[in-house]
Amino acid sequence: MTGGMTGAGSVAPETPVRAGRRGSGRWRWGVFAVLGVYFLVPLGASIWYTIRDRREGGITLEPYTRIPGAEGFAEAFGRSLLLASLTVVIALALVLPVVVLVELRLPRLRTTVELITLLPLMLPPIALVVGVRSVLAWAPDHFLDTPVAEFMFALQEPELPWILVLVYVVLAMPFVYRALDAGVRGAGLRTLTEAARNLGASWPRVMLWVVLPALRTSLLNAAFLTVALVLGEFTVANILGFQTFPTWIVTAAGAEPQLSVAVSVLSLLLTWGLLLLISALDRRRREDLA
Amino acid sequence: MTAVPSTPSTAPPPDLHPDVGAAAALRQQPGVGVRLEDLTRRYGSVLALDGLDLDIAGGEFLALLGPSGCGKTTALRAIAGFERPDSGRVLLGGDDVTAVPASKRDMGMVFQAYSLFPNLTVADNVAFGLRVRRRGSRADRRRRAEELLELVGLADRAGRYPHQLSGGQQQRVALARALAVEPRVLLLDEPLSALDAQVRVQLREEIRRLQLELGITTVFVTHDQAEALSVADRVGVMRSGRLEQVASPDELYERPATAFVAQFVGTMNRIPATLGDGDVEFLGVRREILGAAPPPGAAIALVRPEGLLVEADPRGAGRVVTRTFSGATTRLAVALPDGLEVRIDVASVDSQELTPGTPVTVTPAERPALVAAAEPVEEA
Repeated sequence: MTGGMTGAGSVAPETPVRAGRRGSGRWRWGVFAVLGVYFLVPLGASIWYTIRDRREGGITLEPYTRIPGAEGFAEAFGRSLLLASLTVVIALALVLPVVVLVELRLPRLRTTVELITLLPLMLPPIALVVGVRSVLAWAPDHFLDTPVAEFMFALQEPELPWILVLVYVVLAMPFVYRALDAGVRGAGLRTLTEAARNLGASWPRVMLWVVLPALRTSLLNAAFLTVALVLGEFTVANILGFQTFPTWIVTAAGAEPQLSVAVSVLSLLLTWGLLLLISALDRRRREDLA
Repeated sequence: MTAVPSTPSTAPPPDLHPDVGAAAALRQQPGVGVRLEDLTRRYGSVLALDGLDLDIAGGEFLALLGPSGCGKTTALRAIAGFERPDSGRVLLGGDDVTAVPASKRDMGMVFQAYSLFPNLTVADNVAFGLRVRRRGSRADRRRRAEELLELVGLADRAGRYPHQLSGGQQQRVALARALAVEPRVLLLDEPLSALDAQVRVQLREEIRRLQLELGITTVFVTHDQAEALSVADRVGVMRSGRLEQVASPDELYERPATAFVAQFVGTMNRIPATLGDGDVEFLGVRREILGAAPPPGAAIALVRPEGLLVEADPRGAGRVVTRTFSGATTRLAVALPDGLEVRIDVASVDSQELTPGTPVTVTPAERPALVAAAEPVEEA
């Protein structure tokens, strides 16, 4: 061909600037100040508590340096990370196909699926865990000397309590579903998958080469939210009697309160870091789409 | 109604451009014909396709035109394999492909929404189809993608990502991607509707140029009559899941087969008329009837804005209401007695004195007039 097209709409319009209403700036800063006091004062007090050297005065980072070597910390933290990883994998493996299927093939089921995924939020975790505990107590006796009983025991293995993974998958479902659903709706998945199909891609290829990359940010969002949830979950682990990172913090608080608070502060900062990362990824995605 | 037979009125002119690279390779594939036989598709109570019959000749550029919900996109998606018809057949080059999945139909499609894969560069997007079909080595695919990008004038954007391109550029990459797999048929689903006016015109001309160059059978769905009339060999006007008429753009404009087509394609004045013996009287004059006369009864004459003559006349019964300058021509809205208002196109140089409020006389031009029964016509 001799001539291509040139200059076809290559200039992006400038971002319109909307004038704010008079006085809205003062309100904004007022709200920020109140929120800042609400969140930062307890955090600041906690940090001050952990770095104040009570014996010799001044400041010390000794509680933080003791964390890695604290008794039971590595096991509990490692277990929680493992539980979080397994929860992420199972939750995504379950929810992602559902979200994609609803978007592409069964849009009429969207409301029903949304309601189902909301159930864990409507049901108090305490009710859920009491039910789980009852089943765990009843099933091994009822199915004694059968594979079901063996399975029930395996679920409660203290080193890797799979039962926690299963409960966490349920608890994480509302967040995972919403994160993925938002991504699917924003990604124009129907058009992308049809384009890939039209170009000759099989469904497995479409999922691997098109859907997963297109939902990368949403998958990360869902994964981070799940990790944050598992690292902070205390009720279920405590009632079922497993040692995880949050239950270890409570245990440690009795013997070494300063160390316990230091771990809490680090845990809080870790969670905030994850959420900030999600926010940054989301902002980048929006900028990319703009 | 039955669709008009499908002989292309305009054969693709050969060798508009020298054969180079991808264009040369693509031209080795002769365009194949597409045939839709009695296609029916229902969504609940809505009949999207109502026994649609259509023949598209190999190498032809056919536009499907119609209002929203007329079934044109459903027809295109049935050809692509994204919609399974409830009944009827889709034939590609004589082979029944109704049950063949979309991934195996060998068709290239450009979508209305931007459809480039956001995680891939422009070059990787273009090479995607070759990659999934395992055609050639990585270097071959890369070279092929560059050739296609050259073809659409975006060779210098190969390493960019879709979000770094404008809407027009993205659709041109989508076109290159669709052509890269050497499809037997090119399907265009309103690919220009998201673009601004200037880019639309540029891109539609470029699409037509490529289609002529490659000789590929192309089906172009649009609701924009200017787009359809300007690029297609033939235009099929759809309404309620059926084809009202399939004809060349000239024929569609000059001899619309139904009142709906007349109303939908271009601007048409509907003027109350009285049927005579082989002729029709309207605006006080008699004219021959173009085509078949409607059954006896109330009738309307269908007259294009350029088919009416207007003259300033202090004793005229009409009055200029508005005057819209469009460059070479100026469109007047003229109010006539009995609440009738007509649109008339006049040469701008002759329209200086025809300002709003000017009394005028309106007469039909000396030519046969299209006449229809005076039934209400659906809004397009």
